[in-house]
Amino acid sequence: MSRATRGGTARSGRAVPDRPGMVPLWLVRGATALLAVLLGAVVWNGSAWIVLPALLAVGAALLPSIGLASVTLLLLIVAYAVNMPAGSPWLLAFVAGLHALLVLYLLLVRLPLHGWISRSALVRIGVSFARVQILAQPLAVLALILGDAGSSLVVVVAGVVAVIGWALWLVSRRRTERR
Amino acid sequence: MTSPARSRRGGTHSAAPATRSAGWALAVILGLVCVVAGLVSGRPDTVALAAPFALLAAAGRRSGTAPAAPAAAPVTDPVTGSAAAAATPSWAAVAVRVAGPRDRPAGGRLRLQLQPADPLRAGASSDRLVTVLLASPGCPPDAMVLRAGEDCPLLADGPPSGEADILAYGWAGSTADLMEDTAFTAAESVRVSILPRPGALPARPVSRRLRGLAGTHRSRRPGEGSDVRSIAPLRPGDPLRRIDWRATARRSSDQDRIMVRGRFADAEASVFLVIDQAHDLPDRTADWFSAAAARLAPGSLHLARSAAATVAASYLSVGDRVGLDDLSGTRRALRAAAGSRQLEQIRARLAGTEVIPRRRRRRDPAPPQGSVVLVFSPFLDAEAARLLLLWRAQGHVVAGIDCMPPLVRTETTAAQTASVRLVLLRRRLLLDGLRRDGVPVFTGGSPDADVVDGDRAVSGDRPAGLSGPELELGAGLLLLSRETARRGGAGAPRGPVDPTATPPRDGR
Repeated sequence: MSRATRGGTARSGRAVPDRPGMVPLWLVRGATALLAVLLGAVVWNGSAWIVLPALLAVGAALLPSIGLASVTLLLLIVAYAVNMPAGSPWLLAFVAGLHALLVLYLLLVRLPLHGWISRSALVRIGVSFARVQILAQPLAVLALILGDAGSSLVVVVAGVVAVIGWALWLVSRRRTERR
Repeated sequence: MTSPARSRRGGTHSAAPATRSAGWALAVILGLVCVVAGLVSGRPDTVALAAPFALLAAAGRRSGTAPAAPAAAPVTDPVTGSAAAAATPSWAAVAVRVAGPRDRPAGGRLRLQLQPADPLRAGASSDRLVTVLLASPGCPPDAMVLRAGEDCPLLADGPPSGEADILAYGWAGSTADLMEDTAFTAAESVRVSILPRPGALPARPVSRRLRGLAGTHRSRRPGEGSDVRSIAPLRPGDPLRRIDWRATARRSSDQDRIMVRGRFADAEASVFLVIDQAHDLPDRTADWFSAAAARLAPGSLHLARSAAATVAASYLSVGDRVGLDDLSGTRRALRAAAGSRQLEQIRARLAGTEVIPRRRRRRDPAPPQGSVVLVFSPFLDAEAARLLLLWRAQGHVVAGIDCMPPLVRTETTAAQTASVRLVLLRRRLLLDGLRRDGVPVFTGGSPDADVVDGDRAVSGDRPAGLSGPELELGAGLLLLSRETARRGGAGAPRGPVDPTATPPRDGR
């Protein structure tokens, strides 16, 4: 973050960080609301009803309410199950997007409106996100394969075996790293 | 400047080891909804939406059953003396210390250092976050999310002078996947002590009754000073080194008389500074009625501290003795002494002054004989005026320093306006009464400006005379010094004195 955002410019009386690499929370809140609205726009497909979940998503990003965050995520999941055609490649984006939304809402829900988050903390959150996605994305791909080629037993078995092997390799690698 | 600032850290009030967060429950619920929706509709892709939630829930369940990270030793509560009931995980603990610079400019911000504990040293993984909540006085709280062990410098407002709590803070820890967190732990506020800065050194009025045998002032006693008192014939007992051969050659034509030069003795002045700490009036009148946390704005007490530090530095720079007392009678008076260490003691004592209601005292403060007494007060009640008149009647050179800051009228109700008008009217009557009785009262200057140089202030449009209204400190002291020198013919400085000279070290 540039020095202009380091808060020392205005004498507001608040304590402000005095170093680069601090991201203001309003940027994270804006990104969270934007991500929720984008996912909602995909599943609501141009319907005027998108205004309601969009408002909810923005409210969940601004207000410290776990209820609003839960309703927003549930609306997205239910809308995906109802409106999205089976086998849509949007599944991969939704698996990542819903996960990111959950993490961001959980991060913001206990913070006051004003503040900062360090880049290294964001990187830590990103690494943790990637660790989950590295297993969730192959599962999503397997689900798409199951949906498309449900009658082909060979493809299904190969996919399941590949995902299980991938998961086992990840777990064993993690254990090795810990030792 | 900050004194060795104190940052009281770590008194744990509510702390608990890391537990599963509400997010873990939310992840479980969302995962179940996805699975049920997928099974009902027969769509594996909807079931796949549950994958990240299920993995997060599994991670939270695993860490929730894992042994807790080592906890910090319980901290003894500084108020009750009892150990805190629960200890916070040491990887989540945060300390705030004042990082300087010590010589900050007036009105500048203090630099603090936010220091979360090192998670690796505490036996936890570095894959953790620490959320610190900060609140400056009169401001809503702010959040700062840091990686565990990551330092962060802060800029915070400090008081213009004196001691004040400048930052309340607390912390909570969490894992990077936010499935596990610790309870919020509140720490004690960060408290700093800012020493008042001496301004430009004003003139130094002194009493006629000077004491001591060393100093920069000329007394009326014969002695070993540098100023010539008389030239007289040599008498038995006169030291030979006083013989003035030129005067002998000039006055004794037949060389039958030897002339010796007599000198005045040097002496030091004694100054007694009295602070009225019963009130601290902010410059905004609406703040007089506010029950909220006080802003870190300059008030009458800051003006009193700055003016007293300036006067003390001025006298101590020429070797005079300066003492300090307060009208509230809560602490023992600082005895008059000279030297740079005395200046530091006075500044430290001034920084420690805070609003204390005046209490009944058995006897009035007694200034040393022959001292100049300066009372720094906003003159809201008659006590300061009474003591000024008393000390003046006892023969001291006295002056009042009006420390009311330039007011910004921000009252919001008619009752507040009426109250402020009454207070100001009473103050005006007190000050007019003092001036009518011959006690000079000077204004203490603006809170953020140094005390103006006396010569420049006098040369302006101000009325020449101690009874003129609204004389500033520098001009008033200059006029008072001229007045005392004219009346007594003594106490004048021995010659040109460098006002920027540093006081002699430990010359008590």
